[in-house]
Amino acid sequence: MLKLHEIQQQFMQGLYEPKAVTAAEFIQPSSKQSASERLQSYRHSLIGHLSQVLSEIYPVCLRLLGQTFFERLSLRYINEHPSKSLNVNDYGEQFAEFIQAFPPLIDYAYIADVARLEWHWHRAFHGEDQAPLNIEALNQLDKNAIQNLHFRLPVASALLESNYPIQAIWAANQVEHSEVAPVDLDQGGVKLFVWRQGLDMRIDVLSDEEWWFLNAIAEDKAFPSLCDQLLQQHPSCDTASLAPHCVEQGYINDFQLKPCEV
Amino acid sequence: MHKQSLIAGVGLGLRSQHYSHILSEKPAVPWFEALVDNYMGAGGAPLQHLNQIRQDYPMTFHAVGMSLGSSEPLDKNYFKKLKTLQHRFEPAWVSDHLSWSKIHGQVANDLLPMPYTEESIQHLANRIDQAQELLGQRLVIENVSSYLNYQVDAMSEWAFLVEVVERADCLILLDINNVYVSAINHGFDPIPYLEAIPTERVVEMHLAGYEEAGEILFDTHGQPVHPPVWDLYETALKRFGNVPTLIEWDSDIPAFAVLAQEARIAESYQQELSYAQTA
Repeated sequence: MLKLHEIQQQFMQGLYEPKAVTAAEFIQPSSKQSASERLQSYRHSLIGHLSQVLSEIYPVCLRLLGQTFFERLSLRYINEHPSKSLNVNDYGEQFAEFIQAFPPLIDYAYIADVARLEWHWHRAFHGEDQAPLNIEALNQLDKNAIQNLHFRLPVASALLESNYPIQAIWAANQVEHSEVAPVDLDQGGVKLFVWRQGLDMRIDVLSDEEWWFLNAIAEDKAFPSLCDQLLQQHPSCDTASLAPHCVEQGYINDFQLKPCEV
Repeated sequence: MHKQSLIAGVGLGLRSQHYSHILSEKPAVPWFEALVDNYMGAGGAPLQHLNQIRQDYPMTFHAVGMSLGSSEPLDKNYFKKLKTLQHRFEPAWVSDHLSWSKIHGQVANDLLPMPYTEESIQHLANRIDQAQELLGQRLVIENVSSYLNYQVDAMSEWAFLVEVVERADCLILLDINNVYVSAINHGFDPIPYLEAIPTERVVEMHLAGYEEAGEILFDTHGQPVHPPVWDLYETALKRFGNVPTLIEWDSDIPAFAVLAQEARIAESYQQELSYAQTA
């Protein structure tokens, strides 16, 4: 007689790889359905559920690809990427990479980048709540302390670069628009900051200087060395106003003092 | 925060589509049940809305991710998040299902049925015991609808359920729709099922709609409660009394008024029982 863990192992394999198991070895047939059909009922239910999850996380990709294609894509993704988390909100992280490598979409590279944008949006939406920057404490730092100053970006944020105007594509394909306005793919790429300010979701298009600055913060560079490097990269940059600008925008919402590494 | 002393009458499953209506209209609903897995993110709007609604209403937590029946250790990370939410929102109770979802790192995100064997009973009783220890309160366990039987099954679903809850000393959330769906799918009479359940352990009942697919019924929670389920609910009320009852709706979620109407029907069944008992 099969033990519990053997049954569960076969059942799970049957859900994600139905041809790999013989359902009749552990499932009774009924007068209405064979053992295999009964297992299939659960597989259909799982596929339907995870497809629904993907369509909710990636509504713009769904709109770009159409319902039928998106369902086929989802089915392939689910077969290759079984869920690993008991919390279904964690599902779908590799969808952009999957789209990028999916042969029928090889000529539509912007769709994978739109998927990346939607995943970052999803994560920021559920990301950690944080208090705003303590500007008073920042203003009270003396010159010596500034040598050790490291800024922090909001936890619920991500930096995303694309060769395509994905922010415009995303905006044009929101569900409230009954008709999709065409977007010229040749208008060039974008550098984006996807984040949540309080409960407001934001997708901000960054300048080259802002992009470099926020990436340097994400890499935990100390503020003085960050400014030096920024001037080397962008000699015309007004570094004196860039940090206050990022503070004002809310891109910087915390800081830390860490001794310089020798 | 609203006191939890009264979980009574007919509550509604809390769904994000209804947040703004609930917060602006403050409808007269005796309690809401939150699908706690939807609030396991670190922050953001879902938790903010839950917090606001909790200020005005009693609340219970309903989970789908404990995977109590899995033959591998409990997911401590999941329970850590659940416990954080339990501390913050102080639900009257926490429920999950007599099912499993995870094995060897793969997850089905579904409520898969257990084999009805002595091994499963002992395993579940131990795991429910661990879960109760982790949460510091008695767990409420719900019967699931099922679409298959295992070769190893050695008893009825209701005999299995009763034995598990007795050994684990936990409470029961009796889903009337699930009893009916399983009864049709497996060809058993639902009345002996209800008669076998110990009345003192049933603290909540669920009502929802199913869908027909050929000769099989699926528990989709996307329809109004069907007439035979209302009939079974009436029978259940006579046995278990006016147990707090919840209207669940999880797919094709309609306007709040539709759920409220379903709740009024359930209330009318409860009122009828009260009149009959006082007459």
